Amino acid sequence: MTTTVASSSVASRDHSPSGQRVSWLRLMHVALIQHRAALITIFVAFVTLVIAIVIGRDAVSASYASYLAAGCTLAHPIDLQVCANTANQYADIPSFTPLVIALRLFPLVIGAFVGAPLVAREMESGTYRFAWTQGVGRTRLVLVTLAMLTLIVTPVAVVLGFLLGGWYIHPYAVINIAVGSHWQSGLFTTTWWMTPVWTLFALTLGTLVGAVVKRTVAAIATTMVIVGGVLLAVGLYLTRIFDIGAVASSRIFLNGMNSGPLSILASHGQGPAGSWLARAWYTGPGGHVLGIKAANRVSLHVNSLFESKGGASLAPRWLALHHYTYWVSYQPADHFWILQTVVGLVLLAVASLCVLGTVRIIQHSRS
Amino acid sequence: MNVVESFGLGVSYRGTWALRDCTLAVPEGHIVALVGSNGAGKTTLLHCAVGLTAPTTGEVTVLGGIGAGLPDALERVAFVAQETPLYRHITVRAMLTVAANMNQHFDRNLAEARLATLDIPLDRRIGRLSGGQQAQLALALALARRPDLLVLDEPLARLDPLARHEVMAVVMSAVAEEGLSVIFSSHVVSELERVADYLILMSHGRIQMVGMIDDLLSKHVVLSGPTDDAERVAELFAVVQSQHAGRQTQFVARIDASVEFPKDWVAENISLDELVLAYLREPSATAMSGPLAVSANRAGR
Repeated sequence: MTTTVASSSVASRDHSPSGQRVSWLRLMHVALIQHRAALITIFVAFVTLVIAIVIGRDAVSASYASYLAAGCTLAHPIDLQVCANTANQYADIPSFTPLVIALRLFPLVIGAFVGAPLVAREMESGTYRFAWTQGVGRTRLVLVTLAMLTLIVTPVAVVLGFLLGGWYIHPYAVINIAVGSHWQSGLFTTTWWMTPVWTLFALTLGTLVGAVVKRTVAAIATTMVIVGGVLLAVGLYLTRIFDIGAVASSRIFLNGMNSGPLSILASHGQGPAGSWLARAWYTGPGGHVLGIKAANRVSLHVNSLFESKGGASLAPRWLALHHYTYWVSYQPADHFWILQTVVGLVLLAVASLCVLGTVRIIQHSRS
Repeated sequence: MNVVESFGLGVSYRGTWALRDCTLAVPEGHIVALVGSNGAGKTTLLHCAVGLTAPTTGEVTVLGGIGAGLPDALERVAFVAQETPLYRHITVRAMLTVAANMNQHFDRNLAEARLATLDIPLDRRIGRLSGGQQAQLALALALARRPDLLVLDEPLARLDPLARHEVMAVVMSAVAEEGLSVIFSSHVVSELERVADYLILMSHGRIQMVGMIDDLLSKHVVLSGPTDDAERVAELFAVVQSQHAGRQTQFVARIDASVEFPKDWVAENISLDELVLAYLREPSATAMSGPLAVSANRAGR
């Protein structure tokens, strides 16, 4: 089937030469208009969390003031009973856990309610047929929109991370470092660095899910499940992450010499100051690692020795006599930011893959 | 220059061909009517031309050989999609800003002037405009891009007769003022006749008839005569469609200037409506103007 008809001559309109494109700033303006609802979502989530942190910090500050007034510090407790009472009072402040959870959920909210609808809504409503046939082109449009949202979401998440991990948690870290340790799962994932990284991860993942699913509500639900699942998995398996680059020592003896994950802050000389004890295990006479049952048997015996008079010295002696060694792996204090960087870079790499995947889907998308 | 060219173009959705073996060259400076029944592949062809759909086979170029969907093509081809999808939650003014910022060349004054003529308020949310106003807005946005090629997918489908007339008037005046080429698909054949000068007829994902409308009309006639003689007459002409009513038979046939009409048979001019219907009823019949010989084959023969 071929048709050829002599063409007439019609002057072309004055279009720009090839290569001259719509500026990024103008496209940012488009994205601002198109995604007002998303921006409102970010703003509302931000303001809500800031208010919650400020109110929570009020209660913390009152206890902190009374702690300081009693002359207590972590290093020099004057009156141990008063200091212990105040420290316990800290643990009861109700805002701590909900705030940590809320900040951990912030990326999920952004991923589900900002990222997921980004492409899905265009596909569902059919407006992609308008947007993707304009001079700007679909790939640039999506990339600019993502860039704009990234520029807005990142500082918001950094501020929230600072507020919780630096400002709000500071008194906890002074009074009871075990409660306020940034190595804890909740605080490890909500620092000023990890909060924006998680948020970008969720945002890009949500966008990718939206491009795949092409339905807004389904994309929101799928994103919630995936991001929630990843957050949960990282929380549950953080001890495995803390195995990366951990230092093993046979000179650390704990009160309860159990094997398995520890997740406690080194204190009272049990490990280097500020280090996070990750895992413990026993090795037998041949140097091999004991299985769970064998390790439990040894552990039960050693712990019973601890309960007896002079147990602190009896236990190591008994272990040496029977050629058992108690090993503890720990993350030194100066590994904290290295691990933060590693985990953050992995998440950013996944986020980059999500962006690439989204672009690929959009480029090959068929109406 | 051809505004749209396709070579062996095919689009398959999960094994089902929506468009197949489409080779076509549409010259510039025409108002092209793309006609076909539902599911004929009109929208798929238009989506290929504007870069929304990537071909499964073959290729499609626009405006003298630019790949459909490439940045240069997007800058010079404006598209108004079926049901004119626009951002319903924003105002007309915001929509103008969106469109202006998405294109290197957008004549906002032109768009606002058109909307003012049509009494479309700039501060109204798009979702609160009538179907006709939304269509007019989409058209104004497309024309403000000052495209070389305007592609309209069923622009009249949702409109009442008055709105249809107004939309087509806007298209015609834009063509007259700016000399752009227009391709639009529609079911309303009677209204196409007034505005289009070039026809593409599609059926079952293939191109069935294509050419200048005047040329196509002049080469087809409605022949009426006795049924007894029908078989002999059918041998003389490329019969597209036949109808028998008792002793009378009526053919829609493609004629050759050198052939004389048989005795006792009456030849009448055919309307565009009749021509399109005849071809739609016989999907295997094809008529192509240009260097290729035109063939007309009837199914079952």
